Amino acid sequence: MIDVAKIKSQFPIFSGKHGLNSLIYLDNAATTQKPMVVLERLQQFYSYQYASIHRGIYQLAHQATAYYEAARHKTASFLNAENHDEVVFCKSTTEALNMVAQGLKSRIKAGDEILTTALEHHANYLPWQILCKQTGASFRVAPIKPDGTLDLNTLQTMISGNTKVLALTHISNTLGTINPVQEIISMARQRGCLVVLDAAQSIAFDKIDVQTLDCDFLAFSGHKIFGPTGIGVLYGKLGALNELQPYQYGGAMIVEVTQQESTFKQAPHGLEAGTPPIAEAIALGSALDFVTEIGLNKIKHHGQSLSEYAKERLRTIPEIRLEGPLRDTGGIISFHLDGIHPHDIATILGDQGIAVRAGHHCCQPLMQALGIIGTTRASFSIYNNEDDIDQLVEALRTVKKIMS
Amino acid sequence: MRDSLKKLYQQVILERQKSNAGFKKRDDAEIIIKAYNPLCGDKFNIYLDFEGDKVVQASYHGYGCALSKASTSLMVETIMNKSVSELILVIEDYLKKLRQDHEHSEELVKALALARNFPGREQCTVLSWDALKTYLKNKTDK
Repeated sequence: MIDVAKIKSQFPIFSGKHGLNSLIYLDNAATTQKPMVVLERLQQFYSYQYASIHRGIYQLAHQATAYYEAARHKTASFLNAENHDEVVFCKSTTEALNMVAQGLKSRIKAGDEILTTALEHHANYLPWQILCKQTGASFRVAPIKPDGTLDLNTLQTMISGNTKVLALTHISNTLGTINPVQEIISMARQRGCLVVLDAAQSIAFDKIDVQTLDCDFLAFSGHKIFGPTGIGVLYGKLGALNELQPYQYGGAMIVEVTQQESTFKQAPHGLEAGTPPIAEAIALGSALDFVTEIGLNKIKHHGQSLSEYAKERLRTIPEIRLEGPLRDTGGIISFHLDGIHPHDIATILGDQGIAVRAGHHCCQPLMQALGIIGTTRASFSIYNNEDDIDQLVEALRTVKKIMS
Repeated sequence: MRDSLKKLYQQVILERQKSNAGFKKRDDAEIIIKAYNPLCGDKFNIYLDFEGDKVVQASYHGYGCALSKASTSLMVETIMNKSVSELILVIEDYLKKLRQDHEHSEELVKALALARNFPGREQCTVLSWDALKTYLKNKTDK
């Protein structure tokens, strides 16, 4: 069990200042709120420790570099990566996934296949769709079943000898579906294709062990695990990272530049052109410590119990229709209420201090596969409790009353 | 619940969106204009027939929230029997009324105009009006 009250007290946004005393924040799949330890680390670094890294020959720069590299070690250890050089800092999950897709461009040709799934966020869909247009490769999308789980038999048949990349999400940002990634990665391994895992939703939900998973690449964003915006992580097996063509060129990533030819560093630094998000990376390190201290096993249990409780409570309103798997979902649920448009629901909930997301959740192909236009989504985190869900259910009754 | 919310979702809007006034699919219409909001997925087709310079049939069909439906319904009603030059003025006038306070607006427009006090909702009320304005602008520019 986690101590929700104690955790909540560490997040200033819930402190009651600035008129947000009744905030019920259920939009954690979009982004998470920030604890004091992360905010303080940002302030401390910018106030007293700030300098650019990897270049300055003075103590402050040397120390800033050490903090930045320590954050890389911390991230590697959080993911149980074999080597800290397997962690590339970038700005977001989106950038990490684009970095992989464009980094593979010279190795993808007509006749190759890239396989993704109908569950993907646009960030793990468009980079591959565009890569296929650029290279002439086929873009293939593994289907889902009506309950929002992947059709594993079909997925297996779609991984062919021509499949070069399988890009899939660990947890659906819309339905909360948890993909059996271990099993799927084994299937892909037998066919020898690269596996790219979008861990944007799973990073703050479950313990990730990249060595056990055996994925080639994995991406996540700091802001979804209580860290700052502007920091993302691309994990890659060292060999796989070094085979990527850099996505960007510029300072910091070079070995030597001459008028006509240049050489570049190995990963991770060869993939981090320009001044990186230094403070953000360091504060991400604090966020990972914060999560580790609470314990991911407890966090997962908390998220799952809240999801189950929410589903049970929502079913008490007969006009609610839940989307997605009946059981075993991440801390995310999507639903419909009596044909009422999700934006009308979100406005009325918002007026009662409840923040939810409404619409297609950057998953238009998923909406098309489900035959819907949008949903209302509630997503839970460590500072939510059953009381928040009870208030959501009450507020939904108000929505129904207003709109009927 | 705040009073402003009660005012936004007042009967005049809810009745209008439920009434389905002007909600009619017409694949044989002379002109079909698409109004689409990629943020929320609201998507309407606006069907128009002209006789000479004048709108003689106007309807809409598609998916949208209470506000976008009520506003589009009002629009297809408002533009009936208007000439192209009148249409441009009428649309400008309504867009203004929807985006700022106007004491003399009719009740439905006053209610719709309250949407601008709610994050991200003004675009619901102006969606179809903006689409029609863009269409007419392109047409008259040619």
